[in-house]
Amino acid sequence: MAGDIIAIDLDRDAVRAVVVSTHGRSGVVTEAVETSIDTGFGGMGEHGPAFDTALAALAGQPPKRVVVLTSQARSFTCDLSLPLSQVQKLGREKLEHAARWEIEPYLDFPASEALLSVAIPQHQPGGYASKTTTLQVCVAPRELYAAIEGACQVRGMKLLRLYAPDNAFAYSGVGALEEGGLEAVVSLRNSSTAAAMKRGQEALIFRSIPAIVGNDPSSADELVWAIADTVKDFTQAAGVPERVILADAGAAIPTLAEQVKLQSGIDAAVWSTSYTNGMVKSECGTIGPQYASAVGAALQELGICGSDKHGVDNRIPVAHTLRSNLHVAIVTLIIVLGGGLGLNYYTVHSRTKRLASDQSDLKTTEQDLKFRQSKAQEEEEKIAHVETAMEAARKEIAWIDKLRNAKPAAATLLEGLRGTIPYDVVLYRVEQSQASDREFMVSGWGWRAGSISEFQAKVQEAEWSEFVSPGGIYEKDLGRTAATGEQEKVLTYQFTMTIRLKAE
Amino acid sequence: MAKEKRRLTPFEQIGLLIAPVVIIAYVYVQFVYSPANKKAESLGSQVVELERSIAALKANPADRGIRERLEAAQKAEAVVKAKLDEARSKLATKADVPSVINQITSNARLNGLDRNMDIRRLEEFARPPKMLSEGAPEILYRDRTYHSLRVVGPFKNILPFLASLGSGSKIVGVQNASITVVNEKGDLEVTLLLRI
Repeated sequence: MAGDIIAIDLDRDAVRAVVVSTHGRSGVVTEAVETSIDTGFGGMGEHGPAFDTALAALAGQPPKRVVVLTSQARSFTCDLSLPLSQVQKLGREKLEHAARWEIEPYLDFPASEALLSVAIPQHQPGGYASKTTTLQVCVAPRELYAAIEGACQVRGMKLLRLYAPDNAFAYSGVGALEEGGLEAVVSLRNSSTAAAMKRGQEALIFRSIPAIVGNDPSSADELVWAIADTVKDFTQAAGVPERVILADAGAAIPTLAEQVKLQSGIDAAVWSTSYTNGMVKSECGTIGPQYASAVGAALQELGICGSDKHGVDNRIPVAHTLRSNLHVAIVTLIIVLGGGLGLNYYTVHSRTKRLASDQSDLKTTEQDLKFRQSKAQEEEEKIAHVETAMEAARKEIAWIDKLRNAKPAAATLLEGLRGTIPYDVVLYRVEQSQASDREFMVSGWGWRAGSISEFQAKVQEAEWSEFVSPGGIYEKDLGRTAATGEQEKVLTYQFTMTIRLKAE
Repeated sequence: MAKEKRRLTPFEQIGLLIAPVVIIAYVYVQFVYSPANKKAESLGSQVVELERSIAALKANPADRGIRERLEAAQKAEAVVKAKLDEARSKLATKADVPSVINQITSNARLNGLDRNMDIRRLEEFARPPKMLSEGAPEILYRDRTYHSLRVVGPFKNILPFLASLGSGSKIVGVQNASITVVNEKGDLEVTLLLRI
């Protein structure tokens, strides 16, 4: 059947095995076997024969999943000096670390070798406002776990959890009372006695009872009184239980229930599946109270009863977990750092890429602008060239117009001289200068020097002349033959002058 | 069962966390970030420089209105060229020389000077004489034909003849004029250089 589990209870003088499967929200006990043993379980490697004994008693093939109850796994209640609100905020590792430190004085092996399971009970004896918090701790030596696990593996089974029997009984499916009703459960094993107060399916208080089941009748009385005292303490702590259920092998003692009832004043009964309100059914007939702890462990493991599994498993040790966390932290840090650096590089690379693109665009723009500027300079030079050409053309036009409208200088001179020359002055030569067409050398003679100088002055004042440079006036004998045949002197005055005409 | 390994101290744990961070950060900064950042900074400064250059070029656009100015100058040049062509049409070409000579002799005949007239072309004038003012365009004396003219006649005929030399349809330059009284009647011999 799917979900089958086998719970093996290693008691001091017997091995009990129950096969439980789930059926809806209840557990079904398909097989329950008990085999007496003589040697007990003292060593770590001595579980194999006991397993073989229990498995051999089973009718069918045993399930592959197994939980084991052994008195070497112990349950502790310890108080932390922290309020519940702060304890609930602690992580599992810190909580286990604190619990390990608390239980270390009570262990007979090194605390570093302990496998732990810590639970915070719902019911806190000091209340939720208390400055201390009560923890329920299940502890087992790692060596024990490894030995039992090895024994299971050899037999083709997988060990799920190791349970302490002194609290596994509390989850043996007792819950027939109305919701909210209290009941006390007492585990009477050959090796130990423990009690728990329950409300519904939850265990509120656990307590070990020093007295154990023995052969001596006086010890039976002592056991009854111890049970009654414990119930009384439970009553003070959590309220009056409506009944007391006696479980495990010691519950089979005749009249024990009546004596407990008599001593505590509370109804008492021996555990059977009929007290589980249908939570536990049996397909193998009536099963006795000696199977209560094994059934309780199986129901816990199957999640049918209780919210926590109060057993230890082979979880990774705290120190190893810390190292793993360190590795995870390093890897995470490297990933985060790598991501950050990658992002940073991407940012820088993107910026470089964008700047390169901008630079390319800007270079193109600059080249375009420079090209336009050079073209503009070329056109500016063209304009200058055109203006120079126009200036030259205008000058040429002006010159041509000037020449076209100008009268020949020689004509102008002759015309001017005609109006100024006196009757007694004669010009015999006019030479135009080769250096300038407006300059003339004029030569002539006159009868009187005064007429000549008067003529020169008039030329100087004439509006057509710019200036006159007289060259000189000097006498000259022209000579002539008189009527008498003699030569006679004819004195005249010769002169030269330079005349420059005004520009037109 | 194997003994549990020693748990690392907090200092060792912190060292293990910090060491790879420092190494990776150093390698990244030294070999990746710094070169990339330097390149980016260099590009950034080049971009800023280019932006400044472009802003300066845009602030003083050399081509603003240049096209219009060039077109206006070219139009004005066309007008001036037309005027220049018109003016140059007053200058005689080689083909015009015979008609200009004919006009001169006609004027001489009108003034009764054609019998004592001598006009000949002067091929030997390779360089024009300095008869024009400084700055005169070359076209006025280069590619001109030069002729010597000699006429003899009375002053009353010589003067209108000389005046007629400047009133033709083409410009005729007169230079190196020499006027001399040649006889008792007072006739004048005029020699001059014609620049046609």
